[in-house]
Amino acid sequence: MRATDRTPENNILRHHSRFRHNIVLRIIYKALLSAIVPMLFLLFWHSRAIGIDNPLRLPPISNILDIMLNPMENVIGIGSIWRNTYISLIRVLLGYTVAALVAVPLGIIIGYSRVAKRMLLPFLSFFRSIPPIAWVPLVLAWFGITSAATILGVAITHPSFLILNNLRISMLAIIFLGAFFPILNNTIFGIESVRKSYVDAVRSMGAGPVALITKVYIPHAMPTIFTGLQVGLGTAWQTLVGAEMLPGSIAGLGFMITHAYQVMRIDVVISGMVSISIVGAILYAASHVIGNLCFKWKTQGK
Amino acid sequence: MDIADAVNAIEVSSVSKTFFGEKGMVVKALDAICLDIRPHEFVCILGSSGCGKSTLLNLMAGLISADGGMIKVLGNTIKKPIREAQMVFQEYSLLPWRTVLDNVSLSLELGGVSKKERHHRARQLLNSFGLDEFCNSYPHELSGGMRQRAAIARALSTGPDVLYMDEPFGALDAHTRLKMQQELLNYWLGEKKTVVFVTHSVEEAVFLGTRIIVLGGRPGTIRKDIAIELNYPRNRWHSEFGDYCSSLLQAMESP
Repeated sequence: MRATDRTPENNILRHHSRFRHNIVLRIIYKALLSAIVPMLFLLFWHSRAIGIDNPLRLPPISNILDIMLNPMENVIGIGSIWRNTYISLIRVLLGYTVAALVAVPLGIIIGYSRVAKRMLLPFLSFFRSIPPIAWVPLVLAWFGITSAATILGVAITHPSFLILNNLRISMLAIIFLGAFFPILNNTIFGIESVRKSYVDAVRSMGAGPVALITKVYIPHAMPTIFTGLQVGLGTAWQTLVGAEMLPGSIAGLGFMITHAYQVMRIDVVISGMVSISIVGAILYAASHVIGNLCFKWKTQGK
Repeated sequence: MDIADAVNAIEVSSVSKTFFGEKGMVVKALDAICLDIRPHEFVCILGSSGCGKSTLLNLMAGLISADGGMIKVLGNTIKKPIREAQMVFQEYSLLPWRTVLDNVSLSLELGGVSKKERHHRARQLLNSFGLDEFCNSYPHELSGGMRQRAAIARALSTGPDVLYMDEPFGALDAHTRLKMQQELLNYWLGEKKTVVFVTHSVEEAVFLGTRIIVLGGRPGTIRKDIAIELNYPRNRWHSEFGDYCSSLLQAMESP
């Protein structure tokens, strides 16, 4: 909750809102309010599915529910929803972690040093507006179908081969590119907007550049960097589908969607989309909770 | 500090400062300032906003460097901040992500003092400043006056001989301001550190200082340098207090 939500004016407004005397009623009222549009949407879907009567164009909701409620079941011979989600998650987290490990330190350096900013930012900005998907041909030309299994030299008989073989370097590179710029931009912005009076105060105690960066710049920029990590995780997850549509892909939610389309299983396509949405929401909610726990001083202060 | 006792605590010799803004803007803030401050003096630097009084203080503190001339503090030529001289800022100097205790012990932390030892010393200081209940609070949970008290405690944590204060009570309400002035005086009367106090309030300067330096003009020069020969505690309604104020106000306002 932001400080502005707690102003007296807001309290007055809240007291005039509906069902102000009964907390349970108020919660139900709010839930209903949020549910109206989805309900209408599902109703419309249901009626159209009956009207069209062709699951190749619009499958009924029950088909999707059937697939979603049995996530461990093998669909169209490419593994279960659970397995494909799991492989997608590992890919995203791996590509994303590498992006964070590069973008955060780089952003700190660019944000802190004017020389580094002059040297690096124009160059990096050149790549900023190229969407990750546009890299696909180039990345494929460079990395082909090289996977973590190839690099680590894991034999095809080894139990870890199935997972490692699915970690294609080209996919990780695309996810990396998807997460890199949101993290970099936020880190630079966070470091640059550190209040000068805090820097002066700590400098006056005799702190050198290293102490200033670790005791002032990084803690002050942490909430902004965290926002960048949050946005980056979202874009990485979105980029994934594109990355998994690359040739040579044999697993993952993105692959599941393209493959299901090729065999005309629109219900599986939609189930894949719903899975992407659910996992994305869980990732967002989890990062939101962590952020609120870590940066209380930011939301409550000032 | 036997040597420092014998000579000046702070020596500023023909110091000038020019700022180069963006778009080639050049502002000469200070011109050929010469100033000696003896140990245990309470010097107030008085001037209207933009006269370069904070610039002069930042130069003494080593936060910025002069174009020419030399500054010596306690015998050290100033190129960067020294531990023997600490600064209290107007506001926003306590780090909002640290508790009051961690803020006050930050200076010691930078000096490599162990956690147990620095927390012990910070607690003692906070005790003497009446902030012992707020050790684990965050700065935003404190009132403006308490925040400045914590900032002063932090500046004193390393046991400095010189205390720079840049309009430390400027953001406080009138009542708290008077209370803090009295507390600061009581502290100074007990410890007799060298204090350089920047303010734009004539009345605050006459209430606190043993000596007042009026800065003015652009670039800023020393307009007036007088000793205030009134006994502490000073009475704001005394006629001599008023005389000092009016003559200083004149010096500030003269073109």
